[in-house]
Amino acid sequence: MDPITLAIVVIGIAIAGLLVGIGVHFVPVGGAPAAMAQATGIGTGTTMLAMSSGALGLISAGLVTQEIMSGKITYSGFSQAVQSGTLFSLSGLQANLLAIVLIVVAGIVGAMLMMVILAVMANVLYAFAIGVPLVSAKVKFDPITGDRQDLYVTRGTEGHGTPTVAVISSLIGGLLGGAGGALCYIILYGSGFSIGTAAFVAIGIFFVNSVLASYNITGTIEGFHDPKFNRVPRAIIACTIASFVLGVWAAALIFLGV
Amino acid sequence: MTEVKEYDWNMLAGIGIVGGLIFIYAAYALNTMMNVTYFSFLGAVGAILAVVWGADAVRRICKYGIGTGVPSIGMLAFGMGLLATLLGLKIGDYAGVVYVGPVAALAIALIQGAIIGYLANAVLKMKIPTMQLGMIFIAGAASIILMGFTVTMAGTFTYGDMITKVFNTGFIAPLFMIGALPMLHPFNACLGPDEDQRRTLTLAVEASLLSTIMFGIFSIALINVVSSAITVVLGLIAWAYAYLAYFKKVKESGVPVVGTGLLPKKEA
Repeated sequence: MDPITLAIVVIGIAIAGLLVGIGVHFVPVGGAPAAMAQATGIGTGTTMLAMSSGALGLISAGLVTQEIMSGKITYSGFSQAVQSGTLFSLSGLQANLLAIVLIVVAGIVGAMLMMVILAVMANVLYAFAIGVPLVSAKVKFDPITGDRQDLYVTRGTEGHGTPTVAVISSLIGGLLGGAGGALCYIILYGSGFSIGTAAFVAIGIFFVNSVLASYNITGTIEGFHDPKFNRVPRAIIACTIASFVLGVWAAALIFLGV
Repeated sequence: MTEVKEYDWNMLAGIGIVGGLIFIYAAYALNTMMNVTYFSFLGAVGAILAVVWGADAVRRICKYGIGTGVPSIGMLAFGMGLLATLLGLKIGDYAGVVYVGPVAALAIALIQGAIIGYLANAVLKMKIPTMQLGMIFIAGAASIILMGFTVTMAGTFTYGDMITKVFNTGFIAPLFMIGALPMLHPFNACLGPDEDQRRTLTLAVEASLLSTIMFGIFSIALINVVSSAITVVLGLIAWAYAYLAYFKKVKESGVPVVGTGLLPKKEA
């Protein structure tokens, strides 16, 4: 295995982990209070949200990978490069860049879909079953629509549901998280890992970064308009180093022959 | 309630590391030497010792409140442990000495945990005094749990078998989830001001025995019915014992609810 491929693998996994880590900061996580309509965001923990969007991203990325491999989507040379494990050598990367982009985009689509379903379908329940307006307590006016927020927040709560700005934010989060997860998967799969191994190692890397990022925001955030979002530089450092180390393990595994 | 001295976490770490490795090695050695698969259940014993170690580390970290819920830390541990375990087992495979694998896996997991623990405390500024050592411990525990339950399911822990029997078949999905569950669940269920180490760790044993039964059932597909039956039956007996022990602990720390009857209809 040539050293440039290994370097690409390490850097690629570091970038993928970084994307996941930043993506988590965009996802409106409300935790248990949000599940009781007492805080803004999606009513579950960061880990579960990241897992659900990441898993759907992986499934869609895996589907497109399979379609390229089986020839349904014609891309000459891709399956040979995967089978010989040279997809992420310098020449393999040049020849198959578009296929890799296609797979990453598939991951993005899956993750964004999952995020928007989680955000909007819950809103239907909040609005029509619980009967609360969708407002954020962190800002006075919604940065996207300009709607007044503070008048509609029930006293003693921190907002309800997922308002427009948080939905937009969740889409950005899905975009980054999906890209990171799919990139991680295709790097591992293209370097010779079997499908199951690549998927679960990718999920492992995804978990490490999403949990580290959620420690940074101490569990809850509303999106890019939340003051906690200013903590993102810390997560950039932490997630890059953590994924770099994981990337080194993966590269060592590839060096020893998967 | 009388104050009972808590077990030291370094002692639990010792039991987890030494006991875990001994049982994993014993299961593999007995299986290969006698050319049978009946000793696979010993892997689960090693995993249970590691679960107790990990569950104690989880409760010591999460006592400070991490803000994201206890389950996140179990997922973090398995995320760290998975790649480290694979690399460690591959080193054993590469060196040609299978027995090097688990020790290398544990060592790499411990290093990984040290790095993540340092990042959490120094970069993310979580300021939890037990974070550094706790992260090292949960990563190591996750690594031993993965190997222990792999032995339970597949009868061996070699890299090639792990890839073909556990990863490629998809059994890694339940291994990842029900493997992590006994480590993260006990403190999540028992937390609170009246949390008691012995009760939490009893629940850890009980939960890991439930996982053992599940992995025993999975091993029908990977080994054979006889070994599976041994794991399941022993697991069920031990689980019943652990469940009763946990129930006793719960009753000890419970408060009696006395029936006083309904309020009188008219005030006297």
